[in-house]
Amino acid sequence: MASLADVTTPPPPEACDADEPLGRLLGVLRSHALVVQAWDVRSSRRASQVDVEQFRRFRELLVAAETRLIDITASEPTCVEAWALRVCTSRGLELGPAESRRRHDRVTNLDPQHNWAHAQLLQELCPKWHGDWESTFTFAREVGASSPLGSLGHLLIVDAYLERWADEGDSFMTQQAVINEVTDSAKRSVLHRSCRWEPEWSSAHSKLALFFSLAKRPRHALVHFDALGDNPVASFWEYFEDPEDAYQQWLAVARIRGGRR
Amino acid sequence: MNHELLDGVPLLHAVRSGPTSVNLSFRVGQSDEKLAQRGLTHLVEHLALFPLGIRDHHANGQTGLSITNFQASGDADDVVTFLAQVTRALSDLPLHRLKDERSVLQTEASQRPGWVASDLALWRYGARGDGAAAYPEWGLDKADEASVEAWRDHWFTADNAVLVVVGPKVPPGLRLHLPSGSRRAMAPVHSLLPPGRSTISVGSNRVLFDAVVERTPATTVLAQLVDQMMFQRLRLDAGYSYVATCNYEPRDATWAVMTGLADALEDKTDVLVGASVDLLAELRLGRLPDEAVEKVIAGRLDAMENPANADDVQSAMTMRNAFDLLVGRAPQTPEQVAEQLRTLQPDDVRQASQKTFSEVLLQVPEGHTADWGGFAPLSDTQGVELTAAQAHPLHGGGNIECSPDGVSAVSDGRRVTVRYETCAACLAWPDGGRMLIGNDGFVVTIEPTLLRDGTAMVSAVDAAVDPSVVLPQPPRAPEAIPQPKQPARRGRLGWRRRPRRTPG
Repeated sequence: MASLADVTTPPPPEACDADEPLGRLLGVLRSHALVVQAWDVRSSRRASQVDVEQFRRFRELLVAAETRLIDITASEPTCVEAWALRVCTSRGLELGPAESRRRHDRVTNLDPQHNWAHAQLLQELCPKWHGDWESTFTFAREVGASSPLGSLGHLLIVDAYLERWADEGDSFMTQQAVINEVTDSAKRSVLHRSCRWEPEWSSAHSKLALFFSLAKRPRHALVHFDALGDNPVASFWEYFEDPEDAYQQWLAVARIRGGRR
Repeated sequence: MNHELLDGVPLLHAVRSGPTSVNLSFRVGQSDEKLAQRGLTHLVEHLALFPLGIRDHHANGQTGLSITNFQASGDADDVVTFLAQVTRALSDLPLHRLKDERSVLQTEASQRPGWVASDLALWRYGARGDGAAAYPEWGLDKADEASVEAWRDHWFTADNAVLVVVGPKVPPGLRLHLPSGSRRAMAPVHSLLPPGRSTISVGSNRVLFDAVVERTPATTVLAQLVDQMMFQRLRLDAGYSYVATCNYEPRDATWAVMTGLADALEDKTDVLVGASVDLLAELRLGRLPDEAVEKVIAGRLDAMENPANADDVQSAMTMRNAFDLLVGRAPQTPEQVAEQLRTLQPDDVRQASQKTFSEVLLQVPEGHTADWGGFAPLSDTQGVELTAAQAHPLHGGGNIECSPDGVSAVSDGRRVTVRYETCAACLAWPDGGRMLIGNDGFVVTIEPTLLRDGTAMVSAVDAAVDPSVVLPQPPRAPEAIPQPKQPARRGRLGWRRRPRRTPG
């Protein structure tokens, strides 16, 4: 009998990272490295300033990460770190805000306090990707409201303000209501007695130092510069042309005006 | 299950109380038609049913991909009369109705929604086999008495038919009046897809996939599992889809096609694509829990072995055996099917899943992609070059290249070629416009108004194309003919493999 289709036996599915817990962990780490590398290639510039070759390579690296992550989440749907990374790859691959939300939902069903994933989704809600300020701030406040005291989830609002600053300048940063909101969120998170050190802790202080510097509250800023000590992290300082120089300058301002030499 | 010959036609009888149903099937369908013959089977089906007039019992015909059915149910006299009339009409077609039935079919085509999986078939097979079914019934205009009778003589014969009777008994007096002929095997059609997973971006608001699978108990169970998983995930859990289903259709003695379909509103297509890619990944990795597989197998066995279903099982098996008889596969008893199910292990189904979903074609809506999920986008250009081709510049950019072997359309570094020897159809408008469609489904359009020496080129094409594939088209409205001052419309340049419907 003649065959309808030219089907040959496919090769056996490639030995999958995703099959074993250790393989999955390695797969997540490799994917994370690819995602970081992708964003390094792309740079944090606005899309209009990224050239075609950068975009091509950016996408290629994200696809390499995403295809691994698909297999990992297919094998182990409770692998929260893989889902969190997929919120980020969804944005870079421009799969649409609804798809990013779907992945974010998978994260929050497993870990409602996954602040890294929250920060990834917040990026996409900003006007520079697909969104608008209203949904950005609404989301940041929702996460804050659902975060326990001491959680860095309260600081998502700072991300929102710094994104808006990067878009619109610092005119609104000195408004008392804005400063109050951020001061309050700092008290509920890094300045709360139940706050424990975690990997995102330095980023949290770093962005608070930046916010209060721009808001012309050097005394507040100095608290966070001091917390960082000799270990500053780039975080939102990368929005400056020369992050290190900017950091040093604002640190100096905080020390001079914040009451200490 | 009885199996005897009635007037040269194998007769399968499934005993069931109540009214009698008959189904006379022929091994012919849309996938047996070349593009210039598209619609001939459907036309013969309509002509065969015409003498029946208005009936007070159920009677109908269906032209499928590889089988054409004539079905009726009612009391014994009804079905005896039905089969006598249909087979008499088949052996002596009411050709005075030819023109009217052509018109009826053209109206039917304009009203009927397209075949949902047509793009998948088009990309998998091009303009042949199941791919041909994706094209309009272009052969109707050309169909004359001789070509319709030749089609009937080839396909609608006693030796290429099977009759199923479901009812208390085979009605006495049942007669079939069919000419003798030959059993027609299915022509081999080869997939044009590269190995591995592929994707196309076409259509809107739905995701589809298909895969060609071996006809085994494992793949039938797999299809049912996939159907359940799609409904559970995409409709019940997420609420994206109204339709979320997986269909399994045997296509010949060895192969079946598994086709998945899920729809969504515009604002949910992103997530539908995302969730579908995830589901297909689970299936490719064989993530099917034992309990889920065992539940489906047990459910099937229950349904088969429940005495309350005995009649239904028997008639379904008989229909399946009738199909198998036509395509040359050994018939099975319900006991044999049940025994195969009992020995099936979850691992068999997982392996079938891994194999099936490593070789799947995924269709996402236009504007979406799935390359990020490991699906290779199918190219909309072939890159085949003709030797000794002469380039003719097109107004609005690009070239048409002509050689004694064929024509190419070249623009923006993309090239589409149709060779005359593998040209499936050439649509010809009175104004000189030509659309050449290759067996692989790729299209080259020639608009003489956009070429300096267009008329000469059209003459050269007309001289080279096999006249049997030329399809004369009705005149186009003047505004439908592209003019040099307007930029050429992208679709007219020909990379799109989707066939365009002819006007009217």
